[in-house]
Amino acid sequence: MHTPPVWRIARENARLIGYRCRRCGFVEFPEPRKTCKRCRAPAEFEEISMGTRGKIVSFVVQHRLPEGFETPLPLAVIDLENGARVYGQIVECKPEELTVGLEVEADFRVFYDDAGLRVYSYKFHPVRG
Amino acid sequence: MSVVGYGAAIPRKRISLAEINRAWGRAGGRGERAVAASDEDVVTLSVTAARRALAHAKIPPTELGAIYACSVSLGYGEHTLAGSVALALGAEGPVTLCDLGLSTRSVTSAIQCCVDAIRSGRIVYGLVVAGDVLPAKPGSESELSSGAGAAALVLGSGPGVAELEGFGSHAEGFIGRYRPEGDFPQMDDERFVFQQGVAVHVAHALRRLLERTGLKTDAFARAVFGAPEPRWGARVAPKLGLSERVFTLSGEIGSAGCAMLLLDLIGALEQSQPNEKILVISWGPGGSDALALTVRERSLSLPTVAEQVAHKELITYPEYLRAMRLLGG
Repeated sequence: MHTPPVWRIARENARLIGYRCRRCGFVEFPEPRKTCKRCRAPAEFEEISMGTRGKIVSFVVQHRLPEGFETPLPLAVIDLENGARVYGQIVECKPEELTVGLEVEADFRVFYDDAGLRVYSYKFHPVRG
Repeated sequence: MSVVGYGAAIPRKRISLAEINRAWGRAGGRGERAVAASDEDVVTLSVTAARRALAHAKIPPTELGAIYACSVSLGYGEHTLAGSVALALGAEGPVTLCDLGLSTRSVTSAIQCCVDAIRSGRIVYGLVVAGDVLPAKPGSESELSSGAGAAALVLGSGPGVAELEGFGSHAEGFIGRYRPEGDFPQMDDERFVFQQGVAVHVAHALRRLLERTGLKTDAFARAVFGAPEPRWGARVAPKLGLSERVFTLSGEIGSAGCAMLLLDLIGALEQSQPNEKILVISWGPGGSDALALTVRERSLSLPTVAEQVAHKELITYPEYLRAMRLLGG
């Protein structure tokens, strides 16, 4: 949390806060921008809670990665309950369990290590029981 | 003074004691211990437990006046667990943050600090959160009991799930078990630590609690006991007249350090009926605290401790070494 780029979005990452375009409803995450990505107009954003549950829209399982990554590493595009589409790592799930439409839940995890200081954000695990 | 909500977080990965013993050429071993995944740590588990406690208490994070966070394994000499929890919850601003640790006893110190702050009128609600991912030297005896987990209580002066009846404390400079920074836990003579430390301090703390509250030991339906070595609870219970009444999850998840006392308390609350009393005793370097609780309402925080204990994924010893960052990248 000591570098400006990490600190700037720490709140959004820690609480899954997004910014919804008041004109078209598109949700920006993690930072609001001057122009909405969808309606391409100068936009006004409102802060929203993106919710913690969602469904997998698409996924890929990475098998060959540089040192420091655990493989196989599933990554997915997820539609969250409050209308946001995010990209995230899937944890606690065997690759063969992954399917499009699988219900997932946000899980607060270590994201990476920045010079000895851990940086946190959300990953997702399948909803169980 | 009440517990108005509680929450627990137990990692899904487990290793069986038999698997650890097999890796070291030893036979036998009953039970399992929880293992944090490589991307789970004291902060992530504590945040998850704290979120669940707030949801159970049905209060927004902005109502918290103080956060007391305890851990003996945060992994930093300078950092903040309380602040990390505050950020993740959205409990920033006029909030007192207090980071405690060094001893598993600190969790009951945290409860006492929180109760004092509420009684003084300085705060309305306070959060006590404890989390640990205990390190253990591969092949050592403590490897068989070092688990992971976090738990949190929301305390307040109004009605709640359970009422706090009083405290009893005993302080001494006895250390017994210790861990140099960046190293593994050390304990020269376990029997000495138990007989001269744990058993003595716990008896003093309990006696003071009983004197102060006017209760007798047979008033308690269940007892939970937090200490670095989970087996000490079962060993001290007969000396205190509490045999068969000690509740612990340590056979299923090992010891979760500071969090163990609260995890066991939550497990005991899940099984208790209104008006039953629970005895809570902590031990750690420095002494012991005892406190009495009366259950007021049977209300479950989801997912329950029982569900989290049941939802598990057993891993092998090499997978465990990787998860603990003791092997590989």
